[in-house]
Amino acid sequence: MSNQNRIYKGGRIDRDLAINFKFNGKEYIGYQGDTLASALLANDVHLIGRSFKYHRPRGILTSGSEEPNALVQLGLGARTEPNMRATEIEIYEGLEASSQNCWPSVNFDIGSINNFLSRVFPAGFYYKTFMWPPSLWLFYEHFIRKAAGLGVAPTVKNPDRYEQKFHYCDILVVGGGASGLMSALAAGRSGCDVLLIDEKPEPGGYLRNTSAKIDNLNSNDWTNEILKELESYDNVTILNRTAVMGYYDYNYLTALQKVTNHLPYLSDKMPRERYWRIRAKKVILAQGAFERPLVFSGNDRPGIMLASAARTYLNQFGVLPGKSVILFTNNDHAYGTAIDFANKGAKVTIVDNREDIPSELSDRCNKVKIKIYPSHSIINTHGYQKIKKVEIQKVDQDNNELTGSLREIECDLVLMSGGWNPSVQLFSQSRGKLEYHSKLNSFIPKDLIKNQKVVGCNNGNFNLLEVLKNSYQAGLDFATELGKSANKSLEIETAFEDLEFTEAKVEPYMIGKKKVTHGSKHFVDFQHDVTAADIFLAQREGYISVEHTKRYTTTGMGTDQGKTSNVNALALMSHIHNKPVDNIGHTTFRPPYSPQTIGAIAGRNVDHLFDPERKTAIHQWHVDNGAEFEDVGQWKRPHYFPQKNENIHDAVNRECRAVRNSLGILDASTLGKIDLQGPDVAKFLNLIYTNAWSKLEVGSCRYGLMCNEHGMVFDDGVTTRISENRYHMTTTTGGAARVMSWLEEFLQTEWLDMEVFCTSVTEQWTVLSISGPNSREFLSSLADVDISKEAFPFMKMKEGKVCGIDARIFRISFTGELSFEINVPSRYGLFVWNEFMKHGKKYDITPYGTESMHVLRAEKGFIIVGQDTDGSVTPKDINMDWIVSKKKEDFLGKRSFSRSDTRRIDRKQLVGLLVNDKKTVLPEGSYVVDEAKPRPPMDMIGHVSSSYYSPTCDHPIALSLIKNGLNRMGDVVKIPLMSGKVIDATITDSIFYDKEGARNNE
Amino acid sequence: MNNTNSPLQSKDQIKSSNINLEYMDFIGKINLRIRDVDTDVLNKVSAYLGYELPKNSGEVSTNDESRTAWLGPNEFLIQCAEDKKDKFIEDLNRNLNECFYALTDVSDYYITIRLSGEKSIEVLEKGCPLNFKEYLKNKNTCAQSYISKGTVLIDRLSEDQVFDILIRWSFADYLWDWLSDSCSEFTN
Repeated sequence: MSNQNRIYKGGRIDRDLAINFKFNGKEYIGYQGDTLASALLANDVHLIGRSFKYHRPRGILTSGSEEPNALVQLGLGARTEPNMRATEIEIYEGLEASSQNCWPSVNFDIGSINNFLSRVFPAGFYYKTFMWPPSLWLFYEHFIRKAAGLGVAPTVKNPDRYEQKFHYCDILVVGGGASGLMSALAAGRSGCDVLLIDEKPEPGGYLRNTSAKIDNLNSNDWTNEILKELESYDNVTILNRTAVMGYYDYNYLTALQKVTNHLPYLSDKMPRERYWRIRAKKVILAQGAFERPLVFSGNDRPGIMLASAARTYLNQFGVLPGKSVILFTNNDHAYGTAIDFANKGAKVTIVDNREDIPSELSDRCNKVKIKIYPSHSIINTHGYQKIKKVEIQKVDQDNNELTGSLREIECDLVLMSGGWNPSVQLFSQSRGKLEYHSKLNSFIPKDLIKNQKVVGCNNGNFNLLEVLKNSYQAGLDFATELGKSANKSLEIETAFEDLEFTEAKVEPYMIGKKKVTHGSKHFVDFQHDVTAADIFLAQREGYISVEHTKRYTTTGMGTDQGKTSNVNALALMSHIHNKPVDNIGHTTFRPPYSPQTIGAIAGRNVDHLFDPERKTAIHQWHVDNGAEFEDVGQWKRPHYFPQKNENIHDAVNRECRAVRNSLGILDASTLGKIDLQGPDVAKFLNLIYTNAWSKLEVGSCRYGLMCNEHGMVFDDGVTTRISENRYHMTTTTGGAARVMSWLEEFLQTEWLDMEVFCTSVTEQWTVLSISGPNSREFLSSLADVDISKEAFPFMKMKEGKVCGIDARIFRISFTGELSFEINVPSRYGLFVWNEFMKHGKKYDITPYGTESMHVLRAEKGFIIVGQDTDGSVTPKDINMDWIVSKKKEDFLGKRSFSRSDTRRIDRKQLVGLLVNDKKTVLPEGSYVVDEAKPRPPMDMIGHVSSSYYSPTCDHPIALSLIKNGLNRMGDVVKIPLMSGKVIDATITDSIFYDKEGARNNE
Repeated sequence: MNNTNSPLQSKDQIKSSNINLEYMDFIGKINLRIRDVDTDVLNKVSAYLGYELPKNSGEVSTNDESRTAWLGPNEFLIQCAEDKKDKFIEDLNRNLNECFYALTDVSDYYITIRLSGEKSIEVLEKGCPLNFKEYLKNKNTCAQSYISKGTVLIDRLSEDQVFDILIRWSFADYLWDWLSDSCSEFTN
C-alpha cells in the first residue's frame, strides 16, 4: 500500500502531483512538496540508515538541517553525494537515494556486530588501541580509513556547475520564520534594501506547523499574507533554499543557495548551487531554535523522533508517522504535538517527567483521550528496526530515584521533547558571546557585535506576540539607523500560540536509575554514537575540559556539529562534576553552519578558468607550430618547439645551434615594459638603478640592476631613452608588476617633487627578438632604417618601419649573439612574426623557446634575476660590481653596501661550475660541499642556480652561488646527488663562451 | 591586406534577449597623466577635448569625439575613434608643450569587451566585488576593479545596462572565456 501514513487532507503538499522516487532500489510515490523524509514516513519507511560506529538501525529524528541520523547517499554516478539529510532533500521525479554505512543492506548489516562489541569500543578506543607498536600504525590505518566515514564520495569529476555572487544589502535577515518575517517586513516597509534568507523551500518556519492564531488568522494563512506583502516590495529579496554558512568580520556572510539541486538535472548551463558573498550594513539573526532530544536508554531507535519534527510531518506534509504514539517530555509546549496527533486519530500517551502538570493541559488532554503519566520517565525501549514498546517508571522527584513498578507500553512512534536550544551557531561565529539561560537551560546570545541584532527564539524568547512585536521593532530600529522609517506600524493585536515554551530542565532524569553502561546506550550524540557512558568515561579519564571531552568522545562533531547534542552533553558534564552548566562552558562554532559543497566554494574557478593564462599576440602561432609551453608566472611561454620526434634536449640543442650559427627568433613580449616620462626621469633612474643615467643620449640603451633598500638585487633590464623626456624601461617577465609598484611607491611617498610619470605598456608592444650572425642581414631587408654595423651599433635604438609597420628596433642582446629586439604595437605582432618566418626561410630562421634562451644566456654568464639571485644577493655577489656606481651620491641600496655583512668576503658569489666528468648535467638546486659525507647533514658552501647542457661548448655548464667563490677559481668542489652519487666540479669563470664579446659586435 | 590581429577575433559572440557579449574592434586609448594641482595643464586638455576632465572617482566626461574616464587623481583614460587617435596625441602634445604631463598610447594594451543586456549586472556580480547599487549606477560612470582574476576598467555607456570592459591584452582570452561562461546561465 502506498502512502499508508498519509492523512486525507492538509499540509503544504500537492496531492495532485505524484512523484516517483527510489529508496534502496525500491520505488515509492510521494507528492510535490515532500521531503525525502516525509515521503518515506508517508510510506511507513522508518529505517533510513545505520549509525557510524555501532551500525545501529536509525530513522528520522528531525525535520531540518540539524538531522544527525537520516543521512543518505543521494544520486548516482558522478552526481552521487554522501551524507545528504533526508529531512532536507526535496523529492523530484526520478530521485534515487540509498542508505549509508551498511553492508550488504540496511536491513541486514554485517557491521552491526559492532553493536554487540560496544563494550570494546568506548570513547578513545582508537587512541588506546592503536598506539603500539608504533611501527604498525600504517597497517592499522588501512583498516581504520576503511571503517571511517559514512557515505561514499564520487570517484569521477563533478559535472555540475556552481556559481558565485557578490551581494550588498542594507539589512540581511537570516531566517524566515515568525521573527525574521517581521524584521524583514519592518525593514522592507521602510524602504531598506533587504535580503531575507531562509533554509526551507518557503519561508514561515514554525508558523507552517503550529496551530497558532495571529489576529484570528491561522498562522499559515497569516504567513502567506506577510509573504505576499514582502514579495510586492522591489527592495526586498527573498532567497529560499539558502543557508547562511559563515558569518565573518564586519557583517560579511556567505550563503549557499540551492538553485537546481532540488530538481531533476536540467542542463549544464544552469548552476546547481550559488555561493553568495554578502556584505550587509546590518544583520538580524532570526534563526529560531532547535528542539532538544531527551537522553534515555535506547533513545535512538527508528520511530523515535523529536516532537516538533513529528508535528511538522503531520501539519506540513500530511503524514501521520505513527498511530500509537508516546510523547516523552519535560515541557508544556510539546503537548501541542500530542493534541494534534490525537485530533488526527492517533492513540497518544504522554510520559512527563514533571510532577505537576498544569490543569489546563491535563483537561485538554482528557478531552482527546490522551493518557498522561506525570512524574514518569522512559527508562528503556524495544524494537530493533523500529520502536515497538517502551518501559516507563515513576521518578521520585525528591531524590531522583526510580520508584514503583515498571510499566511496558506498546507503541509505533515515540516523540521526545527536552526543550529548545536557540540556534546560536552563526551568532557565535560572528564572535558574539553566549550566556547560559537557567530557565531554558540553554545558551542564548549575550553581547552583540556592532550592527547586529538577534530576535525571536534565536534570542531565547518563545512568546509569539512578543516575538512578532520585538522583531518588527528590530527591523524598524535598524531602518532608523540607516535614515529610513516605515510609514506603517505593526497592526497585530493578538498572537496566540496555544502552548508556549517557557522552561525546561536538563537534569539527571535523562539517565534514570538504570545504570549507565556501554550496554545501556543512552545516546547523547546520535551521529557519532556517543553515549552518556562515553561522557562519563571521558570525565573519569581526565578529559574534563569541554574541548577535551568533545575531542575524546567526538560528541558535537560530524555533519550536524552537535546541533541536537551539545547542550545535553554539557548538562551531563555539569551533572557529573556537580557544577552549573555555565561553569562548564561550551565549545566554539566555526563555519560552515552546515555541510557545504566544495564545488560552490570553487565556483567557476575550475578547469581553464582556474587561473588566468596570459597570452602574447603570437600565442596562437606557437600553438599551431607545436610549441611545448612553460608557465612563467601566469604567462604561457613557448618552452621549446620540438620537430617530429625530438625530445626537449634535441630541440634545445637544435635551437641553440641555430642562434649561434644563423638566425633564431624568440617571442619576448612578456618582458615588463614601463613608459617613463617627465623632465626628471634621468634623475629618477639614477636613484632606482645602481649605475649612472645622466649621460644617456636619446636613442641609446643601457642595462641596469635594481636593488632594494637592503642592497639586494631586485630586478634588471634595459632602459632606453626614446626622446628628451621619455624613456622605455624593460623589466623581467615575473617582476613587471612588482617594479611598477616599486617605482610608484617611491614617486608617491619619497620623491614627491620629482617630475616623472610611469605607465605600464607591457602589452602595448609585441617584442620579436631575433638573434644570430645573420640577424643584421636578415633585418636589413625588412626595415627601412640603416642597420649597418656603423649606423646601428650595440645598445642603440632606432624608430622606423619593419615590414611596413612602425617599430622600435633595439640593438641589444641576451644571447651574446648579434641581436635585435623589434617592438611593434601588439595588433601587428603576429603579422610581423609571420613575415619574419616567411622571409627568414633563407636563413633557416628558427623559433626558440625559453629553455634555449636560458642555455644561450648561461653560456654567456648572464644572470636571471630570481634564478641566479634569490633576494639575498648583492651586485658584488654576482660579480657585477662594475655596474655599481662609485660616484653617485645616492641610489636605492647604496647605504647597505657599507654594512659589514654585505662587505664580508666569504659571501656566496656567482661562479661557473664545470663537472670534471664532462657529462653530468647537475640538477638545479643541488647543494655544493667541500667535503661529501655518507649522508646529510653536510656543510653546505653553496648551491647550483642554473645548469644546462651547452651545445655550443659541447659539455654541461652550470652557474653556482658559492661562498667566497670568486677567490676559489680552479678549486674542486663536490655535489652530492639524491642518488647518493657525488660529482666533482671545478669552479670557473661564469662566462663559458665568447668571453671577449666579439660575436655581439659583429 | 589585414595585418592586424586581436586576441578575441575568433571568439563566438553572444547575442540573446537579455545578455550580449561582443568584442569591440580596436579603439583609440590614450593614458593621460597630469598632476591634479596643475590646473593650467588640466584646462588646456579640457579646452582641447571640449569638456571638463572628470574630477572624481568613477566619473566619465564625454562628447561625440571622445570619452575620458577618471582613473586616479592624476590619471585619465581618453578613448576616441581609432583613426583619430594619432591626431589626438599629436595635438595634445603640441598644446601641452613645456608642461609636465604624460601621454601614452595604450590602444593595444587594453582590449574592450562589451557586455550588454538586462542581465549584465548579474553576470558581473558573479566575479566582480563592486557594489553595483553604489557604483556604475548611471551612464558615463566608470570603476576599476577585478572580474574573477582579471583587473578591469568598467565603463558604463548607457542608462541601459551597457558596459565596456577594458582588460589587458594578455588577460583578454581568459576574461572573455570567463564572461562567456557566466552568461551561459541566461542564454538558454
